[in-house]
Amino acid sequence: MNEDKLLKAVKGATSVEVSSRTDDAVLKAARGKAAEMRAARAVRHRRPIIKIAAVAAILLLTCGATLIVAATGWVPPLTHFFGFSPVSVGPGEPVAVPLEKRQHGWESATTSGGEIGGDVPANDEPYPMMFFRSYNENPSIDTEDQHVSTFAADVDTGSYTIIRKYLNDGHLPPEKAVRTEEFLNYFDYGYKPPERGGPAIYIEGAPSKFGPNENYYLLKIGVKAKEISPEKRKDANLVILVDVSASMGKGDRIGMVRKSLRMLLDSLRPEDKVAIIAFGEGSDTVLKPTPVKEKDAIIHAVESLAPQNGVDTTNLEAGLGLAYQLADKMFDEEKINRVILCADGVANTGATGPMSLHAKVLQDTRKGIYLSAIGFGIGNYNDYLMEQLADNADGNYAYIDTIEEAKRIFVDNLVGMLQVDMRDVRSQVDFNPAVVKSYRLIGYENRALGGENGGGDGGEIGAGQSMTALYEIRFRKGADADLVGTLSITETNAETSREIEGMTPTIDSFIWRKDFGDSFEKASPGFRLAAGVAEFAEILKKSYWAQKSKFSDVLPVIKDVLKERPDDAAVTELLSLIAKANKIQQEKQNSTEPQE
Amino acid sequence: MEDSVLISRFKAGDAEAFAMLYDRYKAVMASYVYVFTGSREEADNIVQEVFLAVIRRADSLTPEGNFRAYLLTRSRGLALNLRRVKVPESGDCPEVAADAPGPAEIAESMESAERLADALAALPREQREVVALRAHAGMTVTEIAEMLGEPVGTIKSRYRYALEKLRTFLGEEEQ
Repeated sequence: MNEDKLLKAVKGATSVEVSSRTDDAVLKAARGKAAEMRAARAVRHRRPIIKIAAVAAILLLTCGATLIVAATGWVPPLTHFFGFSPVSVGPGEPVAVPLEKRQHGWESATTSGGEIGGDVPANDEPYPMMFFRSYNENPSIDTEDQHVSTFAADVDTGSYTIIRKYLNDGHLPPEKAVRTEEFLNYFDYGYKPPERGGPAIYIEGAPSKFGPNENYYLLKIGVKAKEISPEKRKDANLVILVDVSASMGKGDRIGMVRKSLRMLLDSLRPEDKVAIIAFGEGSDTVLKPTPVKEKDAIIHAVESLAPQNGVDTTNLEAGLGLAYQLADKMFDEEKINRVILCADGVANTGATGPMSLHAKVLQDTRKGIYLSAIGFGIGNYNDYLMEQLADNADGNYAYIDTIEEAKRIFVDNLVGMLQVDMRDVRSQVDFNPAVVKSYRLIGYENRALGGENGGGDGGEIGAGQSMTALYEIRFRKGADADLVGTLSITETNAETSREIEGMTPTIDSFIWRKDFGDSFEKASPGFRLAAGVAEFAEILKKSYWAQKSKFSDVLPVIKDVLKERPDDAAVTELLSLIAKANKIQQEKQNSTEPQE
Repeated sequence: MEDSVLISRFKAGDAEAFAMLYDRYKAVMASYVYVFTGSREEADNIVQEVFLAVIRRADSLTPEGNFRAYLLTRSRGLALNLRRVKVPESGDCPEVAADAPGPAEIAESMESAERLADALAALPREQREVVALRAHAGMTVTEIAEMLGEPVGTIKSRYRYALEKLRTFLGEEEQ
């Protein structure tokens, strides 16, 4: 059969007609949009400022709802970015630091002496060598200066568990250790997974409990990736990279690593493969790629992991290099390919910072090998390095302070940790300046994206994982339009790892005035929880925006949530942590106040 | 009428222009996605989803762009996103082919359609995809390479292998 005939036959054999349902939906939407654009043109020619231009009915099948779009003259552009320069700020308000400056200013995090973790209270022994990096707080931005806010998705929780460790040990954490988004993402807001395809999006708003006055509202955005059951996830090829330098002997960090890895092993499936590399002064393959069904061999290797006493050099560069080499050899595009780094992040030979490690090791690695940076240890611990390594290597970051946290990471949420569902995810909110006067993104300070197209590396969301972001917004007085803004979540396809410019599947959602309730108390428990969690983080962070707030203001909010969700262990624990923070702060104040 | 003209007219508020674009590409997209995923229902859903997204963002449509490649790439992205890709079943061949032949040929064509569906199903996804784009969209190897962001040589060899395999498969059946 010649080529043409064959192609014709293929065409005949596989032609598919679309249903009349689809015809109707598309043509109806096209008519609505055409009318809207006609009206917009007419108005644009008539007057420079437009109130309401047209009404269009758009059937959004992905959302399963018919929405009425009241389009204003404001057209949500797709290519704006979170701008910093034209922001007008009030006296004493934080001014955003451009991303480049933040990144090149990282030395401040690793200077020695008072800079490092020196902010813990004096009533107990402070940890001598903790490395954090401050990203300040986002400013409040006037929509007339910039109405588009873009940030990279982040589902990490490391900061929250580090702060938990501090509080449980009786210290207030250094402000720099607090990343509000990692507090928010620790909690379960009851998002249901999407039924098909892309993520489910949840939007809720209400007056802000903690805002300066009644004109301030909170907008909560939740994104939930689709769930995959442990049986249905892909097989995994894992390279476990364990720090065995002397510092890992402190407080039996290595013992916690061994326990955690045994938990991980018990949650893996027989077909998964594991290799183990240890690094300290150099790096060494402790276990060649071994299927999990040969459990004894793997357990033997795990149990053999011990700190190299007396060796105080840690060559993370060598370790990462060898781990990625091995991961490359094991690479199978049908499987999960991941390097799991278990370390305290204190590297002192070879490349020791996230930028240099990225330049020397990570940037040339094969796409599709992901990193999990799992932090262990307190006393000397480099949060900055571990978190940034994960951010730069399409990775996730967690900090294990207790065996329960190890279980949460390696057992309860293993699939989400292993299998990426959405890659390079960016969230973009375009506020309608006619309705919103100003907005402030709470948290995600080191995830702001710049560049022409809101460019820069997005974040990864694992299967079943969710991300929550809060904006504090101020409505314009007397605004009568209904459309508050639009939300775009863009991602690169995790299967093909290929980004197609301007064509990545995008999930959109509208944000309406009716998504905002009229009282904080009537908002959902999840909303109130998020508001309380963010405020707790902001107080710990000594944020400009929470200067007048006290821990005791947050307590009743969380107590109310707990009444409605009595079985939520995370909320129970949160309540006790806020109470602890409150107590430590009071004791500190009492001890510094002059005795009468 | 050129795609670019129709896009401009739609942006000026002409719904008919969009209907023409839709008619031009809906079957091509659906068939491409079907060969890709093996599901008629998903093909239908994806065509709808892609067009609704295009309409939603009509403001940012540019007449200069390659509209066909844009539609196909978006369809592809969504199809890959489904992650439950299955190949066309042999029993799942269409009731009526698009350019249906005369009544005398129908019986024979149904049979060969079934065989072809089998043969296609046996091909790796990448090869199936190239054949589908050639057959349904009438794209050249160079256009396909450009759209998929792959070297022309790669697409050429995928296409060659695919044709070889289809021929072998059908040839064996005929003997």
